Amino acid sequence: MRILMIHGRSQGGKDPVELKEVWIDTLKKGFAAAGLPSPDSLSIDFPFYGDKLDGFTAQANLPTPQDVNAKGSGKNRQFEEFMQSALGQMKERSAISDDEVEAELDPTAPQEKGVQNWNWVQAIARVIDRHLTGAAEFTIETFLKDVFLYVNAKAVTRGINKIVEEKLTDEPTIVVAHSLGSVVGYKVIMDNLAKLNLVKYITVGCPLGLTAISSKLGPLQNPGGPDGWYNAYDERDIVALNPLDDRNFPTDPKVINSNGVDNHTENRHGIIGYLNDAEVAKQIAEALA
Amino acid sequence: MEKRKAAVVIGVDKTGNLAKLKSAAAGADAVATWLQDEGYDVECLTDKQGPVRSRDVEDAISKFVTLPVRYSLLVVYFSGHGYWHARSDRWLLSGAPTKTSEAINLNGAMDLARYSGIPNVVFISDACRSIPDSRTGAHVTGIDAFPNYADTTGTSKIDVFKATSEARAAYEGDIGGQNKSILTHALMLAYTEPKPDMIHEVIEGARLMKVVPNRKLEDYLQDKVDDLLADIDINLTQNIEANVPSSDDIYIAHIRPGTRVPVLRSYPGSPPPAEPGVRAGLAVRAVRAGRDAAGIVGRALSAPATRGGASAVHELLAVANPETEAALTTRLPSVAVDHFESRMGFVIHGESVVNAATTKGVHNARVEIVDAGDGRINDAIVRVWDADPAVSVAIQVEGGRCCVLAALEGYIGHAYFDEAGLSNISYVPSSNHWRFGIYEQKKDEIDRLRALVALAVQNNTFEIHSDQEAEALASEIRMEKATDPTLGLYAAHALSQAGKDDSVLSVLDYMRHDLRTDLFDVRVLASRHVDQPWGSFPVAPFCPLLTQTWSLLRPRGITLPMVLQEASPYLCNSLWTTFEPKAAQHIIQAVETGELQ
Repeated sequence: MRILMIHGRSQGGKDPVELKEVWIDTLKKGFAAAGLPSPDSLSIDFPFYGDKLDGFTAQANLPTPQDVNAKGSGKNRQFEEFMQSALGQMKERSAISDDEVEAELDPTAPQEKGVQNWNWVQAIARVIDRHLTGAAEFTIETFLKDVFLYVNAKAVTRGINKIVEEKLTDEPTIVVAHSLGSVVGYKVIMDNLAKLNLVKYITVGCPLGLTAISSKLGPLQNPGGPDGWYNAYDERDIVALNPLDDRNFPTDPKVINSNGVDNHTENRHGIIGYLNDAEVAKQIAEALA
Repeated sequence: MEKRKAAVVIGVDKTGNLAKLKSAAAGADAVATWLQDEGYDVECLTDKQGPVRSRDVEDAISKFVTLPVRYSLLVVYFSGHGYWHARSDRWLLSGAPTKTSEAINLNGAMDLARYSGIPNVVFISDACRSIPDSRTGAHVTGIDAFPNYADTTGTSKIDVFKATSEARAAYEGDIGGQNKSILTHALMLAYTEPKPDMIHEVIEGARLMKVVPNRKLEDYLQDKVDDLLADIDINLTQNIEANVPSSDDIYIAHIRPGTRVPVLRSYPGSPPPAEPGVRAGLAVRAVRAGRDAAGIVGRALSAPATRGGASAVHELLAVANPETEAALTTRLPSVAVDHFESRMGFVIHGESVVNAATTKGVHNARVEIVDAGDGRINDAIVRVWDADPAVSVAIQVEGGRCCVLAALEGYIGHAYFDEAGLSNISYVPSSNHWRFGIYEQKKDEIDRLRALVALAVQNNTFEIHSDQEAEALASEIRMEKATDPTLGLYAAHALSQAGKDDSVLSVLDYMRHDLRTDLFDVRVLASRHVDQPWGSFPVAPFCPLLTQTWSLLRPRGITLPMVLQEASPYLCNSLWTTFEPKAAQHIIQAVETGELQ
């Protein structure tokens, strides 16, 4: 039995060995919190795609708020539609009011009447960043840019997946994935169903409940089968605010969702606030048994 | 993991004051039951309990076409009355034709279905494709019925089976003592009485299952339809149309339990014995010009021996029937007029010209009728001045009809009229333009491509029957610069039909680079992937060139000026946009006054 850990975005430039240690140490805390002994020896693979993703992001040159002119959209329609969809859903789920968004807008700037009002979309992002994400190095826009690139650009998908797929074996495998890594994990698992002996898929801080993302994945399926996919999240985590339920990620059999995580990190999204959760660790331990 | 399937099944016996059908609702019920047994989630709408409204169809489709995507396959089945107008099918619901929106615009639905996120969508149209015999019918626009999604990635494969060819009737009749729709009955027989070479084995879960791939249905359906009709009335014909780009692992249903699956045997040295019922179909099959043409296109594209040179055209002609040959010949422009002083203009064959108007463009363009022609021996000559890079020209012919064409810098457009309207236009560089030298070198190859296109439009609408054909045709056309721009237009349609939107965009890009303008239809087909707003780059003409593109405007979110919207019910059933006399004068006036730019 082995564990395949798939990290999220914003890991470029970090030391993969140290990063893997952080994940393992945090998981050990989770085992302890669950009152379980840490397994003596764990076979863990930790594919690292952080630098590769940063390279793609730099190449992509997606629009920034500074690109916005008075007319707004027109730089990259697909990206703008993606942002509009994702941020609109986040706004709705987070009960952000129109007044809050409007307060972010320049009252003297001309208002676009089109359906894709880029200024409005950007204002939602700013409200989310100020009130919800907390951490200075994390903005919802940069997160969504990376996700957009991954799900939308085939070269990016292939490039990232290749790094993860190199770690696939025919051994029974538990896949543990965080944030964008849970999207990568889903794609890699679905593309390698015949090759991968999947015991359980465990996702934390997973954004797949956003329609903007899930709608890019074709007909949705649960590759883990009954009880084979466990999804844990903190309800305050803006990235993972939608459970993978029949409305947001309809599969048969259904994904098991748990909103019981109390993620202590500043933005409620960090991996060190997820893998230390007793229930998450328990799920991994049960799958290992 | 089992793939989820869904079906929207519609049967309407009574439409407005049209003749009441006997089998549409009952047939829909039978199809719904069959598909439910096959594991489909089904929404069945019939008028047994009350009228079927377009809103009901829209709701039923929206139940399955969702984001996130829940289904891998969607079947949309319709049995009832249908119209064919402006090269698009309308499925008529209970309130049509009096209520113009109480119908389904099949082309529009198919276009939106491409962006539904569901990997495979199958349309089965067991309906007439009659041309409406009244103005009321021509005004039936219907709805597109599918949600308009921007979020999905990739395009769906759209398989379509139509009960009959354009402008022709589909039938219901007594089969075994019951009134049944012919295509529907033939379709269901495919899964209880399949031929051995139709059967494909697939693994589902741990089970090996026998299925009939959609690709294997066309010939079988035609044979069965022929046989069933022959038993009812030997004089009736119903030539089905099928377009199946999906792969062999896509199927509507399994071989039904209890079916005795025949064993495929070979007959060395002699043809297999005729099966009962085939005899009656032989005569009918002789007139399947369109299907012959599709086969010829496929062979021509895949056989390197036939490529290149005038001999290739003759080779194609040799295997085509007289109807095909005639269509092909009109696509090879006459060499009688090889240049205009203005280096732009049109040669009109088959009609004399009574009026012409041009948009002003960048350089205040003007048009003159040099020779009105006589519609028979003498061609009409229409010269266009100062139109660089392109303008729109409306040309009215004797009898009052008018067409709208793009005048392109350096090109002479050779336009051919027949009784339906404008049947073809081919562009040839004017011999006093730099393009001509390149054209001369490539002329034989370009003629061969025109011939291939002629064969692909043999079945009336331009249609490609497989992804492979689409890509082969498009790749050949794409490599030719300074060629006939209409070939690029056909390539874009072929690629769009095959769901290759990225390639449509590349066609737009190279044509834009070459012509410094977008052809309207190519711009429409690429519209989902063009970031610049409409109007940021020159487009000519101001409306679709091909009539079949008109039905895509609404699903693509493109709104035409009011004068063109009001003219659309007056489109002729010609391949290229032609307006009936009632609308023609308004179009000419709108060009002259600058209302249309």
